[in-house]
Amino acid sequence: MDIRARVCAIISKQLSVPEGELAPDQHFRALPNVDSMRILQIILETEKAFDIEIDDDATFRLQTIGEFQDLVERLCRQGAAT
Amino acid sequence: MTLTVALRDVAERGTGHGIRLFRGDQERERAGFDELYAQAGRLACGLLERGVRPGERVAIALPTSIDFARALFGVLAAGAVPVPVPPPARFASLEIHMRRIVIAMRQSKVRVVLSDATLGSLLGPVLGGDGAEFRVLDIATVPASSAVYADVAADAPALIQYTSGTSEDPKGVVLSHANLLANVEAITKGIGLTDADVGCCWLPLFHDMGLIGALLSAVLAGADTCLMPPEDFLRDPGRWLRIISRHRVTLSAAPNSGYLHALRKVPAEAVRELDLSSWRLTLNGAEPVDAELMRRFSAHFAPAGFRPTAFLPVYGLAEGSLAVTIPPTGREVRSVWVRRDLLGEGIVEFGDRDSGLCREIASVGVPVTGTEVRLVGEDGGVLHSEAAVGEIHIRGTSVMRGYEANEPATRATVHDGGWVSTGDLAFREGGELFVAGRKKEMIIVFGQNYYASDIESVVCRLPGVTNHGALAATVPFADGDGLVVMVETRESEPYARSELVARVRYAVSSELGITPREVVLVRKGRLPRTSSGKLLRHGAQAVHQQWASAPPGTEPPVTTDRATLE
Repeated sequence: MDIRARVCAIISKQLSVPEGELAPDQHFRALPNVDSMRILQIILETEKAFDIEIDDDATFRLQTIGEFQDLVERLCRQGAAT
Repeated sequence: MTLTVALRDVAERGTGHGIRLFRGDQERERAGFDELYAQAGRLACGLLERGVRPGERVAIALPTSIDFARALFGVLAAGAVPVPVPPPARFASLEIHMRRIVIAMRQSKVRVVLSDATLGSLLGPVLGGDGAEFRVLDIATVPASSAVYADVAADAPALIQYTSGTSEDPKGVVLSHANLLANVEAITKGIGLTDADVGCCWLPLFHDMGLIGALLSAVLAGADTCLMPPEDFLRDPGRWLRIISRHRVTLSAAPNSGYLHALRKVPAEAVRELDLSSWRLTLNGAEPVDAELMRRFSAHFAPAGFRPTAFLPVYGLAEGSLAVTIPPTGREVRSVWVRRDLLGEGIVEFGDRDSGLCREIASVGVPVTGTEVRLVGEDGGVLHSEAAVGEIHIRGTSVMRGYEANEPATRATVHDGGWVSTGDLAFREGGELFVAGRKKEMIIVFGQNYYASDIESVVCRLPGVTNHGALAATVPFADGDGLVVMVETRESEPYARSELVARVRYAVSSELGITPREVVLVRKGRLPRTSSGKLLRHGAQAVHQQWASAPPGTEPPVTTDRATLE
């Protein structure tokens, strides 16, 4: 499974939304069951799954699933390069 | 006496105590109270050099951190007035967040925002820049080489605490040095706080419970204080308990939902590795308190030495600085069972817990020193009987005189003789106060208050919402109360309807930071209204019930979106 799909699977599990209903252009804040605790849970699960660290700063700047996928891909590439 | 002088007294006592910031399980930073006092003076000097004037409101946009304490006392030492604003939310629109805090900052005529490098790089480009309305300063760059401590009168403002930063009508509670010192003294007395105590706080500091209940009262008592950011607690509430265990913490505070989160996420095997025997008192406030949850929490953590007498359900609000009532310490939570149906009509009748008709309500104790409490009936008369529910009014040395630059809101809240109405409903039994509910519909999530009317005003501006038809209500779900938003619409096409549901979610979530558990679309005219067309708030629960119990596929009200339960 590629990175983008794995990110979707994490979001789907945390928010109890079928993966088929998640699309890159969707805003997190428009998804069902979103609250600050679940958002943190998504970040935490993603950090664990990919062994990356997501900056607080970055999470304030993104709004959509696609932007989050981009960020995780970027961090994974950086991790592989070091 | 001012807060700055009170901090100086603590610094001069040379206790060696101070504030420690934890990230994860590690101590990240530490500042003694003497250092904090010195740093406040240098920050004050730097602020004055940058043109901050006495009495000027200075916004503080910082996470739960030692910098927050430096900023608070630094602004005060400059003779200026701190205005804490919430930090932005994750995965949300920064622009909408800014709009929200700008409303409050304009009301207080803020020119300078104290922030740090991380948050400042977010806020700066939006708020600051050449010729902009606000100047965003990084707290690390402000301190001067010498210190200044301005002389300020005790009745001068010392804090502007915004209670609703969302509506068009921002309400900033103005609290004086005397108000805050009186409340800190009342808390100190109420919980027997001394410099031998060790506090631990993960609450946000822009909110009164964390700022006054945890930070200010501990600092001014000279008690060692461990801070951790709320997001660290939310990610792993075990961190909170491990800090308590390792650093022999004696005092903490959280809203009801915080205890629930810890209960759910810390398994029995992890409890065995904790030692909570030093934990003398833990305040439970800012949300309705649940006696059953406190029993479950006590039982779950008993193997670690947690004592049920540690729980202290308290009542307070920003208008009264913070603490209004506190129960006697050293006893288990006291509660009564009252008839649920009669309570709704304002009548108190005690009943049997097994009858299924009764609701358990925990005592929040007796008024703190310097604060008076009265209960007022629907007709405006003061209640003396224990058999009736009335609105809580407060007055005294900790209580505000008014809201910031908002005469209409002040007039509606502050009455003759200095009595302030709270909007909370309560009854008395055995001389103690029992909070029964809210006069105005309010949704409380993690200790934060959201007025239903704020949520509705956000929703009814959205395209697709007909006739300004939006009602927000709290509805009980299996795992706790949730926000339900009901919306009138003409849309019938499924795609347009699901778009509207997403629009409602996005708007409410990004503007207010709370997400509806359910969004219910109903046909135009389906929401209950008065003859003059005004929406009837108390009809909301009934509409939702009808909707939830309707067999699927029946028209209307129609479901387009029912969130799944955990």
